[in-house]
Amino acid sequence: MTSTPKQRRLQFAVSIVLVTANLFLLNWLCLGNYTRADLTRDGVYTLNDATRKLLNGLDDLVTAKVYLSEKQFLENAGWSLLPRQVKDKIEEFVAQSNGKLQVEYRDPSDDKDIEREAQQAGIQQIPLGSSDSSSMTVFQPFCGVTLQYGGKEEVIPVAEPPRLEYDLAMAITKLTRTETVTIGFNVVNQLPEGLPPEMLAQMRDQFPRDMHDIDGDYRSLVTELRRQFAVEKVPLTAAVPEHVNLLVVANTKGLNDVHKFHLDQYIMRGGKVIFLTEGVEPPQGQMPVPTARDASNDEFFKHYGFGVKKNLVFDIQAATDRYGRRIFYIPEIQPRYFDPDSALVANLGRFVVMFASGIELMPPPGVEPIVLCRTSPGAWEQTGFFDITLENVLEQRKAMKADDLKQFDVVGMLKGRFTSYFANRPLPNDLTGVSTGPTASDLGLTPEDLEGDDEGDDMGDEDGDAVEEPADGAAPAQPTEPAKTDEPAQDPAQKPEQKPASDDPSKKSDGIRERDVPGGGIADALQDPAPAPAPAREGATPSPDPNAPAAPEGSGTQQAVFVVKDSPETTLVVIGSSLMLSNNLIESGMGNYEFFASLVERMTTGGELSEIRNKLIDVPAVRADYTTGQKNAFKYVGMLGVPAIVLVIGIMVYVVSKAKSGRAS
Amino acid sequence: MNAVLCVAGKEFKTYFKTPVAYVFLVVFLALNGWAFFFLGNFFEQRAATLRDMFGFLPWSFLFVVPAVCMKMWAEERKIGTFETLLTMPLSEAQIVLGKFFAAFGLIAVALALTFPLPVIVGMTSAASVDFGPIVGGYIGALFLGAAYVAICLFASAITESQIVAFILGAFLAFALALIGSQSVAGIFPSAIGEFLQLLSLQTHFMNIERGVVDSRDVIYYLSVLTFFLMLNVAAVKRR
Repeated sequence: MTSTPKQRRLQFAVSIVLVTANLFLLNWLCLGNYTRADLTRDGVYTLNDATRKLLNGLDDLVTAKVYLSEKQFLENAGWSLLPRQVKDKIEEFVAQSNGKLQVEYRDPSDDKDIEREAQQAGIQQIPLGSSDSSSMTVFQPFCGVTLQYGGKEEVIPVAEPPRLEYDLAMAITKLTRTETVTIGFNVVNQLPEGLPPEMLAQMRDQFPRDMHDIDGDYRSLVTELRRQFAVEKVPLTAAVPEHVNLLVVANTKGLNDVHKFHLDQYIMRGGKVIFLTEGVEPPQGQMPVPTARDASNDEFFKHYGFGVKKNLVFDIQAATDRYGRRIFYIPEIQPRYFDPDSALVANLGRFVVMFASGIELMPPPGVEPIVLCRTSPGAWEQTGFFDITLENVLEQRKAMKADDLKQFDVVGMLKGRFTSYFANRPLPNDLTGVSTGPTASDLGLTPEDLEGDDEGDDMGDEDGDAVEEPADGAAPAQPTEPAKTDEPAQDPAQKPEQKPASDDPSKKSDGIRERDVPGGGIADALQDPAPAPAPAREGATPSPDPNAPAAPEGSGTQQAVFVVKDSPETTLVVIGSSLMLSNNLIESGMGNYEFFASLVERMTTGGELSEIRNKLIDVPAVRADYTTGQKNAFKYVGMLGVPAIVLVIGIMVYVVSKAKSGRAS
Repeated sequence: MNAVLCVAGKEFKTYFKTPVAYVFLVVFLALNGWAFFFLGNFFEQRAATLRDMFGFLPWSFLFVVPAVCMKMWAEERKIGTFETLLTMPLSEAQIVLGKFFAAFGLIAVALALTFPLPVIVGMTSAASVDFGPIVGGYIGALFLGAAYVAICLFASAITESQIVAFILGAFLAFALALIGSQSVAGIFPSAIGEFLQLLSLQTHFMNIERGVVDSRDVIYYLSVLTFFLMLNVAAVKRR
């Protein structure tokens, strides 16, 4: 049976509609499932895995406004490629976002309204120089990005192409972050609460270096940090709260064993710490010159793999006073002396340290040491006796030989798994009743579990790694790995009669039993109304450790302290100067706040983003040594050479064919 | 397939028997050279890259591809060979594909004849040139050229006038290139703007011309080709 023309047309029309619908469907399906081949030599358009994951995970629209003075860049020699580099990177973000990132480009070059809008948004004009063979000009273009998401806004005031991927990823991370990041500041020796303001001020004046307080000598830093983070005091007299994502230990003077225990356990739970400490006491009050600091913390620090030298570092590359004189004991740490491969400090700006000491990294097994920042090669040190008067320092500098000058490490990082300082040491006596985390019952552990023998441990594998995560969300601040614990349990009723079986502090009492606790969220306090006598473990004496914490008398309950012995992967940063965070230096505009805030941001936000490496979408330059004649030769040969040949061939073909047709006719 | 190649070969040779191919090549190559050296300020910008030439392609194609395609069907109809062609033992689809490949072949030849430009980039560069983006640019240019050819061929199939075919082809291609630009897509609400950008020839070309071949762009171009070639077959059948 044959169909009529009308039926055929109808069938064809239907088939076109169906094919069109299928094409749309295919394209729509492919939006979420695609592959990209980056043909560039160094894969400069390939975004980092972390960035791709971030963009693929966007659940709502992020809108970006790119304020780019494209016209100005194009008009100035040497800068014409920058707009393209910025746009290319941003377009890669758009391509990877599956439509969740929308970009609007706005050129303030000739539009005062857009210029005003950019300034109000916090985009900075960048003073740039441009020179050609005859003149030098300065221009001030805009090149910044604002991003908005769910009523929040992030601004990248200056979008630098090499670090744009990191900056954009970080900004999007901040925008889409739902949980609050909390920075803890240790406030050992904090000023007493409730004192009259005059007395507080007097005490601060009297002991400016000893009485640390986030509302006092860290006020400027904390005020700024609070714009991005929650900041809270961590006295270290109790466990560091679970929600503290990063602990800043800028006051190491006066750290006692209890403080150290809580600090240690925070690290063991995967907490990240920035230590700021020097080997000298900065001058204060009645002591106008620096003095060597005591060694009370040396062993503690050494256990984690770092040390602070008892020296005072001077540098020819130093901050200057109002008269332009260099203050050699305030070394200026310049980006060219940063580790270029570390995302923690890559592309950060300069900063200064004050009364700084050199740091040493002596990592234990399983810990990777990285020196992040150094002084300039023109630095030297004083040891033993310290003299900071300008004349004497200059004399000392003049007397220096070239060999005496060297770089000093001032910022370092230790990354890996650490063991507890208290793994083989007696615990502080006064830990009674403290809690460093969820209780055993929070973790679903019964007294029977806690009594379990070593070989029958059903919660961990043989090498001590836990095999399951806590179901109750009792995770530590940065838990990525399980942790191993000791579980000192003791019967206060027995304590008076029992003596230590050994003087070797590495030997545990029977109350300290190794146990794997899942997820690293470790309870160190257990209340058991009817405790069974703790069985002895292999190699341990049957008596409790006299140094282990005791329960309150008459409590009638057993107090036990879990000690986490091994940490999951975590990061410690050491800076050889606590005064770099002082109000004066933070307010000085010498880059200290920017450096420290970026360090904090990078350590706490999007750990995966730290893997992002700077990539510059670079284009080789055309040689500059061509004469005008040579350039013109290239231009006209390149533009007209082939067309001329094609034209000649065309004319020849035309003439030949005419001749042929003439002969034929 | 042989039938398609047969038609394509015949059409391709026809181009070179008349001044069309030569005029097209001369104009296209001169335009590209001008865009590369003068519009892109190659020696002043001092960037050893072909991006300026590739960036200009959507606009240079806008003039030359309709000129190449306008006669494909319109002239057949005008001189009365259309019916003769349809009486041959070939399907409409084979004839359409044959004409498409002939025009696309001419575009490919034109792109190949831009070889002096990458050579000059390589010669004048102070450092070794990354040829990845250049290869990507040519791949993108071929996709873009093929899409323009399919669009202009369809325009030629629905009219007897070559002038109308030229204008219609140029307009359709221009519209499909322009809808993705910020000045057009930005007028609409974000969802519509985003959709328009997904439909744009130029948006998809921008990815490839910088050296990133994305499966979404390739599928888009293949979809455009399929869609307009189907419409072309429908237009031929309707006649």
